[in-house]
Amino acid sequence: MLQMVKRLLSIAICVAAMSGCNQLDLAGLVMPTGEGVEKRFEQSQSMKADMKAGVVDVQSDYMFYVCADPHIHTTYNNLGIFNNALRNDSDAAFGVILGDCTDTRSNLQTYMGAIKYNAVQHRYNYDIFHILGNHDLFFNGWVDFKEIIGPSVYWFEVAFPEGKDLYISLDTATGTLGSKQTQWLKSFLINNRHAYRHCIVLTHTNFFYTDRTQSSSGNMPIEESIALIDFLGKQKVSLVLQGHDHYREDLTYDNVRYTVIGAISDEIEAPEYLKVYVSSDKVDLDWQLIAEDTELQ
Amino acid sequence: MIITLLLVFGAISSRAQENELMLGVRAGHNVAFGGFAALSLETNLTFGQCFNIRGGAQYSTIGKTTLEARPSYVYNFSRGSLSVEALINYARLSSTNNLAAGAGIAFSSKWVGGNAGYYYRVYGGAGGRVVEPFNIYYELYANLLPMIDNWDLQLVITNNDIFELERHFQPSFIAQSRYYLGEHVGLSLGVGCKPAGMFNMSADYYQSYIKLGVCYRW
Repeated sequence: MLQMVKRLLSIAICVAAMSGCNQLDLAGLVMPTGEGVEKRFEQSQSMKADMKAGVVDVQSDYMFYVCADPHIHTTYNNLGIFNNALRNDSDAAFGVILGDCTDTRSNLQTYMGAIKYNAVQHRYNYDIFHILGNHDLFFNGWVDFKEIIGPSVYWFEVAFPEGKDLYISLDTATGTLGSKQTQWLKSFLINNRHAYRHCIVLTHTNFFYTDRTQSSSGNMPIEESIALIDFLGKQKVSLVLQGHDHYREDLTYDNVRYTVIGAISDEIEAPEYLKVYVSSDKVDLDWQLIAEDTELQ
Repeated sequence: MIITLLLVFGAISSRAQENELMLGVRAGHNVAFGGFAALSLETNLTFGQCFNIRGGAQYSTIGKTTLEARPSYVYNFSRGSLSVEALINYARLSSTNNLAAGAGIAFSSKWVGGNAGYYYRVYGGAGGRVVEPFNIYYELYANLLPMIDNWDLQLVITNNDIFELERHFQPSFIAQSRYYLGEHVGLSLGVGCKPAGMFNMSADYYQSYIKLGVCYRW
């Protein structure tokens, strides 16, 4: 416990120092610094018809790339490595980035540059789906995110000859789904889950608090977490992919696999990403570590 | 239920110096569950000079039943008191059982008080079990009217308001008051709110409520 208190104190000092450099938005400790989750949900609803972001066509067994927390500030070595690996892999179907795309608001253009398709360097122009993280909201960053990237709540299908899989992006950047998103999620899954083989949920904020790594950030309130995992279990969700914690976690609860992917930021000690293999009977994970001295080509 | 019966039995049978029993209702709004109401029975019992136990039971319309007990050993000194306490909180929400146990210290004085401690939480049901081994609980309150005998007015920041034992990054902000009409009977009134995402540095509204209670002390 003493270690934890020390850790919290050192984080508090860093936070105070970094807020002076416009990196951390201290006002966000007590109130939303822009639109709250209810408004963001409404705006997301108005951006896409039925909140559907698209369809990815694949064979029945397929694979996609996913990473979390690039926290782009000035450099993007590791995210660039992820982007190159994804866009040169003939087995991949698409990519997912699980939030905290940027460290703070002004870095979104740098982030977009890091993940763009370059016809000279890349063989495949795959879709990349973005999830909203809490850092993306610093200093009212939602204004840029919705304009440059798009909605924070949406769903897409991965269609194959015999059926389709459902992917849902949730907005958990402010530590709660809020009323409207909760009601939408419940109604959407109850009415549509039966039409899909797998359902995979994508969220920035992780649901569980099983180790000390979380002391620097927050999950959702305990009641909301329990209600959510209870509901996702009943809906037979296959996989929940999460970020935010910066450290890997992989557990199964009520037959739902909950996986936190460690950060891919340039500052992290052991950056990683994940290849997810989806087939009829299972979802397999293949962790990819980025070696310390690997440089972006 | 067993804890509640023990506490009520204790309240009736104890020859304590100062005891209190409170019947409370709470009504509010929560983004995950919508509107809710809760009914609770709380006790605070003192045995001799040094032992105290507080706790009780609550049923909420979100489908949650909570039992809580906090036995403590109290050291009184001229300007207040210092105590060592144990904490047991059990809640059942939907089909999930949630058990937390911990220990900490508490202090109270004329103007300020609070507590701090560690707790271990395990929750689950038929689908499995999840352990949260590294939680801190804390509370800090200020008494705004310490000079008035029969009227309390407190401002509180806490993640362990009774029946709401939260993760440490999820505090509630509460203003509460208790007014004693006579020697035995009093009324309590409180309003509280709980934001989400404070430690994400992207806070948002999560819950607000009002609580009312009728107290009896002897």
